[in-house]
Amino acid sequence: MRARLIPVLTMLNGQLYKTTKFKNPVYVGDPLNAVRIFNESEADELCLLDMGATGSGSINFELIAKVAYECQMPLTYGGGLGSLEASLRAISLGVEKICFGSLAVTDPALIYDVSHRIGAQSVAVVLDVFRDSSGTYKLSTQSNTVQSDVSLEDWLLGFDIKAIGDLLINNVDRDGTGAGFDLDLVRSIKQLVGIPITFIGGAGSLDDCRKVVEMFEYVGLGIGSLFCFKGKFRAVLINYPDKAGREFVYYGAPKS
Amino acid sequence: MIGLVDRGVGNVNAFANAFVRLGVRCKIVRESSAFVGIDKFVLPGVGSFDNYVRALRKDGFADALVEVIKKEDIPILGICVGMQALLETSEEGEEAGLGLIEGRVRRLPNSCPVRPHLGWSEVSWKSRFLDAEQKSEFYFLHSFYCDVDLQVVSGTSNLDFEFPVAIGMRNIFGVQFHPEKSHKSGSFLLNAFGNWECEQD
Amino acid sequence: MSIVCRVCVMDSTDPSITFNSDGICSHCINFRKYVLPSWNYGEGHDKALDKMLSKLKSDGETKPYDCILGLSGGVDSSFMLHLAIKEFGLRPLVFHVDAGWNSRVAVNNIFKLVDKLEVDLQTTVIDWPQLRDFQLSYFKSGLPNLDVPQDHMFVATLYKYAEEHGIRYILNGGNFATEGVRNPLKFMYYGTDMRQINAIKRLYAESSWDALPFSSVMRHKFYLRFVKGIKVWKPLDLIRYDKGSAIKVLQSEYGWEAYSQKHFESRFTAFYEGFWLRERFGFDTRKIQLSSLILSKQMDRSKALTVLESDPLSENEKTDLRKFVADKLEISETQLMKYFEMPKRYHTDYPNSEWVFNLGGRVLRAIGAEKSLKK
Repeated sequence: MRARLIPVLTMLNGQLYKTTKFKNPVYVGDPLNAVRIFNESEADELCLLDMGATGSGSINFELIAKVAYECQMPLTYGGGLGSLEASLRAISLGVEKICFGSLAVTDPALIYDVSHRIGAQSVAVVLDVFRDSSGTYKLSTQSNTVQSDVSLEDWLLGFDIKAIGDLLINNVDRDGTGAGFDLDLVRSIKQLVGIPITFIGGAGSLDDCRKVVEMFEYVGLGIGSLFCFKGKFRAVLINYPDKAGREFVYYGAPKS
Repeated sequence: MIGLVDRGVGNVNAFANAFVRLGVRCKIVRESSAFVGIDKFVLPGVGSFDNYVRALRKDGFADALVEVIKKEDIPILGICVGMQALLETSEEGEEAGLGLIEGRVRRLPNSCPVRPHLGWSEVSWKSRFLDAEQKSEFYFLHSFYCDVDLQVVSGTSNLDFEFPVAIGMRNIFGVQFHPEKSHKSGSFLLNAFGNWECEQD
Repeated sequence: MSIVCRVCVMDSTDPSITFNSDGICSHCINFRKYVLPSWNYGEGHDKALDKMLSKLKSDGETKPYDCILGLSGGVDSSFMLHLAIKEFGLRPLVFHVDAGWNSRVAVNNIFKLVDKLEVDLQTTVIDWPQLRDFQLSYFKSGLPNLDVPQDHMFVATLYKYAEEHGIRYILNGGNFATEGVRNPLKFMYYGTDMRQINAIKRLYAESSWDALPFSSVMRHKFYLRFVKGIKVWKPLDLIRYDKGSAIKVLQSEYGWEAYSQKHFESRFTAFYEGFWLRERFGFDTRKIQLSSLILSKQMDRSKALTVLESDPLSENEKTDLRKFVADKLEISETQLMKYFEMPKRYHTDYPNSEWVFNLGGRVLRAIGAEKSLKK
């Protein structure tokens, strides 16, 4: 087993956008072509988060079906999944893991329900995390429009982690900055959780990714900006590392 | 024509898409009346063992499936929980599996670095599988494994503990990983299954 | 049975083709008469090349970039970038237009080149929902050239950027070596005829196109050129440009990957040229490309004929592309095939300004500002 490099695509109104600290969305383009490029690049997994659906609760199932068709790798979908029905529908369309966000903080009962029905391995939770003035990691909801008072640590203590198969930690402070992953956050989570974890937010280079893997061998790395921009002007260019780049992240050096 | 078994628990569409891309004819099979013309079965499965097996057993579907497989030597490929369902019993639940391969499904031991086993792992092939030299990396997502006789094991994976991930006996095959989500490694394997022919005794 | 030229592989599937008594086609005759004398296979242009390079460098001395270079990831623009940096010592701003159909190979090639050559990259992502409507309008029109929307976006965006940022020189990878034979106008009518585009919009658009950049041929060939001084320069015509050697250099220096056919860096173009144009209108664009290579002495006619014996796309690839195109355009595959079956229309069936292109081309050639009959 090894680490996973996972493109994280964020959507608004059915189109791809990339934010910085969850603000100032930059237009990235059509999701279907981006997914196709990642599929042909043999990406480890793909994560599609619909920021618009989070607020409206209206899920673009047609698009999900098309994206699922293009993915010959596992697909995680999150955004607006507020009912058992919506969750089952997403799964039936070919999504491997359905992902809950705000509900994990406000009303986990639905998550347990869905998990019971389809199995923990098909359920993921994404936590939007920020660091407050005292240095405590806290959770925000509704695409970071609401900062809660719940600390990450308390949430981990209170939530039945075995009900899910994958935990995604989305670092609001590092989002879109390319400033590197928050290694303090990685360090603090690593001890607490016994299930697969994916860190999202801050990857500015493959070196940044490698640093996390050195601390945490089987980690999932959720990547946004690094796989959609290139150069100092942040020109949109969908990209995924080649074999040598991937092996560097997973093993520290190319295998051969 | 490959029959993709759909009893409401498993992602059949991903397999349909994979076979369509490979140009292999397939159709979705929900009831035993649809067995006509099927010369191979794929059994995709996710979720818990009991849930899956109950769905198979309902309305006598499982019995009909086992009968036609035994009677006509029809090849079958079980995927993930579909592979586990080929065995006799499982530690995960109370239901009895199809019993097409002897063995028991067991929980991955605590010594495993992470559970569920989620991600891309190497498969160590002990022999050719489906008459082809298979690729090495596949996507896994499971917490239980098949404890079977060494004789039927074609491929294993190692998580500080070596366990079977590809088994085969005559026309009965199973893989613990997800070929439909393993890019080229997976489509290569599915293509091999599509082309596999039973040797006549 | 179509009649094939004895020298190249263009044939009577090109409705405007004529043959002389020796069985040689009008494309070959025109090429030899209008292109070859001055082009001379790219030989003997050192002075012109040096002159242009000095102008670019001196005009751009105090600026961050001396020119802008459109990079699609295809062989021509990729090799041109390689030359610009490695041979010409230029400081281009590399520009890419993302119309939502980039293949993995295209973006990968762009990435590798930009990385290795350490050049600055700007991209513009075209508003997909609006471009989708523009493309669908062309399907509804029944016209052959479905690639007008993409082509127009590529041209208009580049000119717009150059004008807005005061960059006076545009490097264009167009060349006679691989494009010496002209596209048959009946199937591949100009993408910059705004009168026609506006007519199609009036008749078939279902949404606004206000976020899409447009540029009429008068605007960029006359206004931008003679009033704003924005010039397009085609360096590949001033050197001995050999496609095979260029590919080898790109592969070894950058790990550049080749496409199965010219222009297939866009998935839509692969669908359009590999399937739609060929099977709906009976025209195979490979004939133009291969004939150009024959005329520039980079390919034997027999090899070209062998290439034409097989299909540009396998059945699997066609099926896959049809579904992808339908999915992206948010129509069913059944609807897509309905467009395929509908009565054929041509650019003359809709309002057009073909006379402007003819006149403009003549004027430009007369003042020596343009060499020959190209797109």
